[in-house]
Amino acid sequence: MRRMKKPKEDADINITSFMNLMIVLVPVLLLNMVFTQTMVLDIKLPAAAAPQTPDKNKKKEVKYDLELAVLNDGMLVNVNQEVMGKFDKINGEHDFKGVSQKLRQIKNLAQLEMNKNLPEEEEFKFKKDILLLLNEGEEYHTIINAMDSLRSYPKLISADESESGVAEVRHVELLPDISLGDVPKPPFSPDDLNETYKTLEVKNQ
Amino acid sequence: MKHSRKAARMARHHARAKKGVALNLTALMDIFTILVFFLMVNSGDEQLIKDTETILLPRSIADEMPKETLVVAVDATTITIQGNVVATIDEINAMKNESSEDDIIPALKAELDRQAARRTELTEEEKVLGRPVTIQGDQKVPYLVLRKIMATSAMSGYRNISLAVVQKEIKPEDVGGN
Repeated sequence: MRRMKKPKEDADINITSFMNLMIVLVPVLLLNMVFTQTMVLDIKLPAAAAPQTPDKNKKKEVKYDLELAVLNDGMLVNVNQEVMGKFDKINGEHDFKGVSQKLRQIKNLAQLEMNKNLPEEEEFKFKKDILLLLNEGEEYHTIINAMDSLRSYPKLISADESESGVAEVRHVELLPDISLGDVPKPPFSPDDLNETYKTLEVKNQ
Repeated sequence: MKHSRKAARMARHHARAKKGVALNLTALMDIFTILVFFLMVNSGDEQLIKDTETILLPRSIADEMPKETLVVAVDATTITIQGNVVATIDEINAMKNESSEDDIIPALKAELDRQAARRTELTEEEKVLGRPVTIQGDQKVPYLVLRKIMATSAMSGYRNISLAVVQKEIKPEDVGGN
């Protein structure tokens, strides 16, 4: 009796062309991959457009006006036009770390001070705005660095605290509403800070 | 001619060996397939801001993705919009600098207005925030130039400004203490 001969070996799919495709596709896509990621820093100008002088008649809701003046040889942190901290350059670099620390300290103190006479439910959250005063010649990367250190500060989450179990850095909001302004031209008195410079209000998101 | 059993077995064995050993490609195929999909997804967001040799972007911790907008590129000598030179830095430095009206760069304003006139219908978001524009500035651009560009674009209705930066990572060991 004759039997149909069963095909013994597995039927092979011819994958040669597929492999060729893959071998071409993988390097092409790898080369296309972008390794330095370009990001953007969003700023939103108010509808009132263009530079404006601060509105003097506007009622002050908070009694802490923060300013960071970036000067050629260092930076000044002012609260209500009073110099609270001076940060000289360290090795020719601005000391943004020191400024960030000082601002955190001021923010905490101010928050405590303002909540002292308030009932708990009306607790005042510290405002988020700061005026960044710059020289006209200040370089763009310094501005970006200054804005970075004003917007948030890095907080170390140790391996024990973080959910992932690995030490990580979180950016905690500090003063995200940054307005840009010019450093008043010398000679200037503290009063000038109020009036003379042009400000370009910038809301950071 | 009749073979012995042994000869027949050997012949069978040789015939089998001649067919070649089939490679097991399953694992390789899996890897390739996953890799291709991964790379395709990753390269999906085509770079919206083109790298140029003359512009070295500043580094920042900002983590917002760029959107597709009008790009104003500023390098050491010129301001360009979509590849067209609009104004030079020398022109800007030569401008008067007394009142806030001096912050408007006429050539840039004209070009921005022209771009804005191409599309007069605004989305809801644009009505609130203004038209979006990305400033791709070299890290050495002075604040004066930047201020004038921002003031000019705000004047033309481009108020939603994004500053292009290169992302920098902050590692745990960089953050001493708290």
